[in-house]
Amino acid sequence: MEDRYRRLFSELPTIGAPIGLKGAILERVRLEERQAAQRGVFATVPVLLASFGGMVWGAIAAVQALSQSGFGHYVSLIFSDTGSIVSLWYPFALSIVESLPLFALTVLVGALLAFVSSAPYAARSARRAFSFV
Amino acid sequence: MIDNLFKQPGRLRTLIYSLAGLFLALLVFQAGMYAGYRKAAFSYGMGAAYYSAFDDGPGHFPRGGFVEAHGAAGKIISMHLPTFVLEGPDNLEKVVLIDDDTQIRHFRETASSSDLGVDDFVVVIGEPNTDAQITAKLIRILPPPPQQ
Repeated sequence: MEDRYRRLFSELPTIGAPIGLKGAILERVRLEERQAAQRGVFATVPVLLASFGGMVWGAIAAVQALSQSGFGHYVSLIFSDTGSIVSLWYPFALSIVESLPLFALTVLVGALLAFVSSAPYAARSARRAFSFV
Repeated sequence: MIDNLFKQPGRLRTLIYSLAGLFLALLVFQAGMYAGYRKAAFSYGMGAAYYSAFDDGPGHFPRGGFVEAHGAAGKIISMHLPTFVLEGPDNLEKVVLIDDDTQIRHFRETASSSDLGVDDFVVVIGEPNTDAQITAKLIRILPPPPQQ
């Protein structure tokens, strides 16, 4: 059986690959990669824009809320009244927590997380999508 | 620096995990605050409805979240020792009660309640009491802010 196959293949005419096939395949693969990267860029750009907007809004809201609360004054007590703060750690910790603008900080950190997570993917996709090498 | 961060997947992963942890903690805390606020508002509403059967009832539960109960910072607008009224940057007025355990500090010295006066800027750390006052544990007299 094996001999038959060997004989069959030895008697078949050798067929060469068409000229330029390898180049055409590679070109098609590159094109497909570029299109996939372009889709990746279009998918991540809205996420990046939204997360950047969220970061800006969160930062502004947090700063405004912090200026309206006594957060900065409470923190300054750590340096001016260290001994008293150590003994009054419980009400001090609660006053710090109460004065934190939680909603704005949650939005800020969430937006920052979305931005940091998607930025490398967007950068990689953009590099592939718009490289013409 | 950011470019270096993106080139080092280990550091980036650590940053993302840290941010995710912080975000989760903030989210849980925010959810707890929201649930607590709703429960407190509901309990207050029940109490108000109960008392309104006998008279006009108390006022409304404050909208927009809780008021800081363990501290206050701002300008003294009236003095009636052992209490005084403080107005914060958010224009909320809080009544602060001074008791025997209250420490009052001015610069590096220990002061007394008689050193406090109207228009003084103070930071108060304390605990809320049942009369909606803050029983002060520490009062720090501050120099007035430049814009005031």
